[in-house]
Amino acid sequence: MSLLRMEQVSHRYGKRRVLSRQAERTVLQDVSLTLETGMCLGLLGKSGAGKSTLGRILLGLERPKAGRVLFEGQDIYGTHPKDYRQDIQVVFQDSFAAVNPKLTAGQIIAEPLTNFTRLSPEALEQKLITLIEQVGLTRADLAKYPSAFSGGQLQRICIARAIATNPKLIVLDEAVSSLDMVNKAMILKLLRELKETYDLAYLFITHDVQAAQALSDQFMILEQGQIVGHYPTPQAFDQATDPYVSAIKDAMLATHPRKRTIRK
Amino acid sequence: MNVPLGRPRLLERLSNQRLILIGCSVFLGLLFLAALAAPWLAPHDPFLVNLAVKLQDPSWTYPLGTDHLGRCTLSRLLYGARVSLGFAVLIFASSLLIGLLVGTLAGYIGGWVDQLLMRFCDGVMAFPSLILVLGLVGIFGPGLKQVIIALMLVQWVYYARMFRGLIMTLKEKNFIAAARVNGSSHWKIFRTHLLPNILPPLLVIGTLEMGWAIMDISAMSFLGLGVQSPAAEWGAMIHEGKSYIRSNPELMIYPGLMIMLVIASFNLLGESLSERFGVTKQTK
Ligand SMILES: Nc1ncnc2c1ncn2[C@@H]1O[C@H](COP(=O)(O)OP(=O)(O)O)[C@@H](O)[C@H]1O
Ligand SMILES: [Mg+2]
Repeated sequence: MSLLRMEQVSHRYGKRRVLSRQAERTVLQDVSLTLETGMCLGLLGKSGAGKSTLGRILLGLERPKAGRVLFEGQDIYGTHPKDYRQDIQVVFQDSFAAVNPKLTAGQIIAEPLTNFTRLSPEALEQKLITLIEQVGLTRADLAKYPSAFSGGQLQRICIARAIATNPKLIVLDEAVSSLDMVNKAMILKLLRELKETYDLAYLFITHDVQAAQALSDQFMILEQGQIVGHYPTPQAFDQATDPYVSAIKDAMLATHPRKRTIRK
Repeated sequence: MNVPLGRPRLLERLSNQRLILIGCSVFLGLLFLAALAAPWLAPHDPFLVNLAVKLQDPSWTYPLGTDHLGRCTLSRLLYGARVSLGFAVLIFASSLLIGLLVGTLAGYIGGWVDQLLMRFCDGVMAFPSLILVLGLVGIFGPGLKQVIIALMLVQWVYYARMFRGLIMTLKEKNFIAAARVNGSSHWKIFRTHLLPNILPPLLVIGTLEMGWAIMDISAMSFLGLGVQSPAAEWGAMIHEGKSYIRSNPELMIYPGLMIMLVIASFNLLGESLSERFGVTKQTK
């Protein structure tokens, strides 16, 4: 049994109003994918391709219009919607929008712990210290508010929150995309270490080919809501000649001076 | 040119946020205390009619003089503060609660619930409060209760609209999505994520609204629709004093001054709070 399976998922957004009916637009079309324990699937695609929507569906936040999402064989939009919650976590792109500015780092990391576990205040405190040190911050940081951190530090706090309840799968929705080079490399390293330590599975959503390659075991390309390419190994992705893949690779790699190509 | 001008300097000092914040808070705080302690502070019974001492000038026994029925003006002002402030708080608190409830439901749930609630709000908004008051007074006769109910029925809509907008903006933030992923209940999300983030605007609008509520109550009482004599209320006192506008204008000036000071304080306080919290003002 796979950790997670998406079967023929289709989705469209559209505001239903009492009187008028707005045109609905299809965002995902017959998307199927499989994630195994300890595996990182890189989901690449341009902006607006439907990547975040796919992530939200996988997290149980947006019921798809068609298709099923099975976590360990259970339909997450089925009868017991909360069972999977502590096993699937998320890290978003904009860490400042992903934390409540009125809570301290400690309170932010404690939220899943208070919801899913019954720890004594001392045990909770101890757990928080372990977590924050695990992501490379100090126990003194637990008392600080989000405004006191940099984007990279705050992203570490979001990662600590995501791993707090020992999940099996983490959705990384552009988790390193807004970080500078140095922070990006460090967060990718942290994510790789955590993956190995806890045998975590990642759905790594990104438009950044290099970042995807640094972490992923498999690759999928999403284009206008459809999967247009699936590469089960890094080698296969490297050698891909698909026009979509080359376009995405070009767009990213062109920024590197050595790889820059002159276009007409 | 760097010519130092006297006037702007003065304005600069006057608009000193902190000063206004402290000054208004202290004034309103003292007024609230005075209203609460009116039975002990008032030198006389505010309802005691004594025609022998009518229309007296200020004296040691009657610090602000007496009205046309010989009642102590200071005592009536103090008791009037109870009515004005007390009912303003009542209107504010109840309409705020209803508005918070409706606005949060509409903004958080969205979809047809939102549509339904907002169309209902539009319907209520189509009634100006004055017309609603006149309607209620027409049915039940003049009285404070009618005025308060009418104001409550109208006020909550503004809160509902405001909270709906705030909640909708917040709902889009990823920390709400993260809270759901982290297994927080909707109630917990409301308590820990939504409410603390709408508190500053709530405080600002609330302060501004208090001024309006006091104005409305006084205006209705002045028109003879609200508080009925012999009850002491600032608007009603102006109403009673207007027959003596030539001989004893102070009968209108004292309560008028109180209304002006209180409303100005609430407004200044609201303005400086909004500046402090960076809340953008929304007009009614
Ligand atoms: N809540 C929503 N309501 C309506 N349309 C949406 C909503 N969220 C996303 N969309 C639309 O769906 C499309 C895919 O968005 P998204 O999944 O965020 O793409 P990506 O993450 O790949 O950039 C976009 O065209 C976007 O405008
Ligand atoms: Mg996205």
